[in-house]
Amino acid sequence: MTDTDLAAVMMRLQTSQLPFQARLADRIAQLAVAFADDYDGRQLSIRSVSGLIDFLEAVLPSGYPDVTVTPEGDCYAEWRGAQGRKVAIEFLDSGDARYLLFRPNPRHPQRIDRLNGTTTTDALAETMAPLAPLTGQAA
Amino acid sequence: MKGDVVPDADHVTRLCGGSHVREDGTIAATAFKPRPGEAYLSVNWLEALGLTGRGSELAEVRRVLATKRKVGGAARLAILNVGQARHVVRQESSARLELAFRHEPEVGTGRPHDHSHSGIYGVPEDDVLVPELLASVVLKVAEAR
Repeated sequence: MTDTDLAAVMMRLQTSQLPFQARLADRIAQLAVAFADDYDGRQLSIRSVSGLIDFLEAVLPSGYPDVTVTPEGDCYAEWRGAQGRKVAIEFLDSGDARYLLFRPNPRHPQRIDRLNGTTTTDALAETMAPLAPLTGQAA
Repeated sequence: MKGDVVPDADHVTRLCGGSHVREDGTIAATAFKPRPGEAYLSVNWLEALGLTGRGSELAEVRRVLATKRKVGGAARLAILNVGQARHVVRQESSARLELAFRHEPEVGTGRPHDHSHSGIYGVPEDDVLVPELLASVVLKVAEAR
């Protein structure tokens, strides 16, 4: 990600309808600096950041995600909910996304089921909606 | 000695860069994802240092890490119990993976010595669950410098 790319992402965030746009833009800027420190000047994947924003816009109104970065420079977003619910999504530079869900078993609520899979980022919203609604979940 | 198994009762620290630390200061699964081609996750075996007290062990790990690389202000040390980490991955991973913690001392000439350096072997590169499980058993988070 070049400085110009990062500026373009920030601009896109600032013009989005996301309720936490400023906070998320600050976080991504902070992560870009931290990742460069951690990995000898390497840069975040612009495609991954864009994929994250696309997804957040598609699943409004999700809560604010906790975002960190994988060693490959991809965004990793997490949301937590009640009763051990958790959603984690890794937005890959390839345009794919890996997801992991923790949720109570519908028949045995004391047991936490785990589901994981891979899909394309642009199909994530449809894939995730029946599995784990993000409404009410946040970092 | 190189290749020695780190006992289940012992503890390791993992240096977690600031890009792997959540906003609330806890450690995300991204800290336990291997880099492409990485044979193992680097850790430091605390009991191998032969010091008395966790504070002394952490101080020594910080000193050694600072001789090897730049440690950012947002970086943290995650402390894990070996047996607990191995157990949760064995019980909860879909393939019932067996992680191995092995001593990998770095004592060669021409580079800083790191006698307690060790590795977590067996974390799959493209997996999301095992790093989540490891992050879930972090016992404590400490300053890295």
